[in-house]
Amino acid sequence: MKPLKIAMLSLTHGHTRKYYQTLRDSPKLDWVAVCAENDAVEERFRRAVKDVPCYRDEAEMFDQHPDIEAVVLASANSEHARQVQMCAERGIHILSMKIPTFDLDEYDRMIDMVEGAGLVCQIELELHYNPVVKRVKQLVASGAVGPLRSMQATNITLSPVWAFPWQGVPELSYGKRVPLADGDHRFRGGALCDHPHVFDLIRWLTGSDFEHIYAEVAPNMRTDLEVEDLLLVTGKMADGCTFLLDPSWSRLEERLVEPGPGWEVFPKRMEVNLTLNGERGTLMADCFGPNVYHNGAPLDRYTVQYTYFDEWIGLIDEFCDCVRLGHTPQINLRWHRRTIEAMNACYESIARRQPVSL
Amino acid sequence: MDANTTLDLNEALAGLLRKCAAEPSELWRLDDGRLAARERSPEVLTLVAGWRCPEADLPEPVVPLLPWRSERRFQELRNLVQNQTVTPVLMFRFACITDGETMPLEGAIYREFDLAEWLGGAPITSVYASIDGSLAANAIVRLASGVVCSVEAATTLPAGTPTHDRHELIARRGVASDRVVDTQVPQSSVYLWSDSETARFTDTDAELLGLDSDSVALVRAASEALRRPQCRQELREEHRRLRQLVALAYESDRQRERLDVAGRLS
Repeated sequence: MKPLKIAMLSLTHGHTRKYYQTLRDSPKLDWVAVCAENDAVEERFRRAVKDVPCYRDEAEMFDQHPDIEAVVLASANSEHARQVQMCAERGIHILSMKIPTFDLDEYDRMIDMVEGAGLVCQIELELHYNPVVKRVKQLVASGAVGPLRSMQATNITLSPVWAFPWQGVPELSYGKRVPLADGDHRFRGGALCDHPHVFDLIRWLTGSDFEHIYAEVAPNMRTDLEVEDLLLVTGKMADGCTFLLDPSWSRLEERLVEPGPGWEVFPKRMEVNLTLNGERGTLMADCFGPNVYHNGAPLDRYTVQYTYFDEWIGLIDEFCDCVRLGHTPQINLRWHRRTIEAMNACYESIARRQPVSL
Repeated sequence: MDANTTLDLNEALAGLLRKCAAEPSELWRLDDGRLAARERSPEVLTLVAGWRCPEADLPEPVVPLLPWRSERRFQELRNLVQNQTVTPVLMFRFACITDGETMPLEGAIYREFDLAEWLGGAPITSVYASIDGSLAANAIVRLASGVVCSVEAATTLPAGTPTHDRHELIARRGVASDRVVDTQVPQSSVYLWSDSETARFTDTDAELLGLDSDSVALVRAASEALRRPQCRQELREEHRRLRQLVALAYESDRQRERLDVAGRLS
């Protein structure tokens, strides 16, 4: 299969650095260029990657490299609609970060643009390619615990806002400035916007969709953030399966402007754990374990050192296959819309202090 | 699996009382769940885990115990909050999965609601619950202090499997938990692999060595209730409140509404 000529836009998303390695290593890709959003981002990129041209103007990059077939939208959520439109006009396939947009009218316009141009638009939800999740999916499908009646999932991390400031700005993360609730000084756009994975996983594992959802925010751990950092979500799926999701930024961090060793204050920076209660048993899984541990440099603090799996291999395999063979990605814009609706329903529930039907 | 209890609980309790020279003035019996309510004698003080009593109002000779409060791990978690080692607490994440025989779903909710209030040092003020019959429940409660707490409860473990639980207290400064970071299941203090058996033991009480940790907690709680008669009425009141909170959780699920506690408890 001919390698896909690919570029990256913005480079401001938390997963950006992961793509540097992926785009370089994958035999299915030919990394052509990037476009950095600002000076700091460009400087950081040039330190990490020496041999890929870096632009500051997207149109210029596309004009200089008319062979670009696809892009990774590694940008703030607020940039996605504009960038999708630009790609649709140029016939460029899209690998988008996890939130296309929270504005459902805008979301539908993005669907129209992508489908009208005959493009592949795959949403990056890497847990679909995680080996633990694959095992869980197999076990559930085989009936190991019987029909699922309850599911709990954590997607808890430190807060990335100090390294990726847009994630703490309501307009850039949520798309607009909406108070969490009457009398609450915080706005939509925090931890919830960073953690769609568990909302997606429960749909994937149960084969059902959200029936109603209830969410509640706790007081913030980080009092200087204007977006939420602690929240809990419960409700039921249409098949009656009850759930409890924790998409919080509940692991405290050092406020590094560039992620690296010493980022963790709490020993473990990220956790995605699942508990599935079925009619015939219980299944528990740690999607990113087991790991190794140290208390060395730079802060001599006990730290969980991840032994990451490389979900990005499967993700890129699927994306390239879809582009070359004309397939539709599993996590396409239409599938993902229900996940975004559910996340919006969480915010509605927080505002109303009551559950919201979907 | 933990080794099974090898001592009779009433004998263990009597031994403990003798050791500290406590002489309760009344006849008593520790009910480990095998005694039917109708078999309880009005002349004998019956000490029983509160979650085993479905009725909110209990007659005076019955003392509903909250045994988990006697567990070392919960006492230490409470100390961490009270001493402001982790402070201020903002969010709790609790889970309790049983085999349904050791403790039914309502019992698990009762236990976790009590732990939320006792560890958090504040009463529950609102409840939202999503429940699937007697099999599973997910709830979010808020305490008067502003703490938000999730309770995951289920009875989906195979018969005979030890209860699996987890308690995490998240504060602005620090996180406290009864589980090791980066683990999913409880650790034990002794593991044995031999030609004849595989076993694990979690011994937390040298005076009650031989009892499993739930039984230790029950005996300790009963001992406290016998030595401090003044706490019995308090326990009955707390039991009444907890029973009503559990009922409120089921009502929340039925109505699909977040329910404020104020005005709903008698």
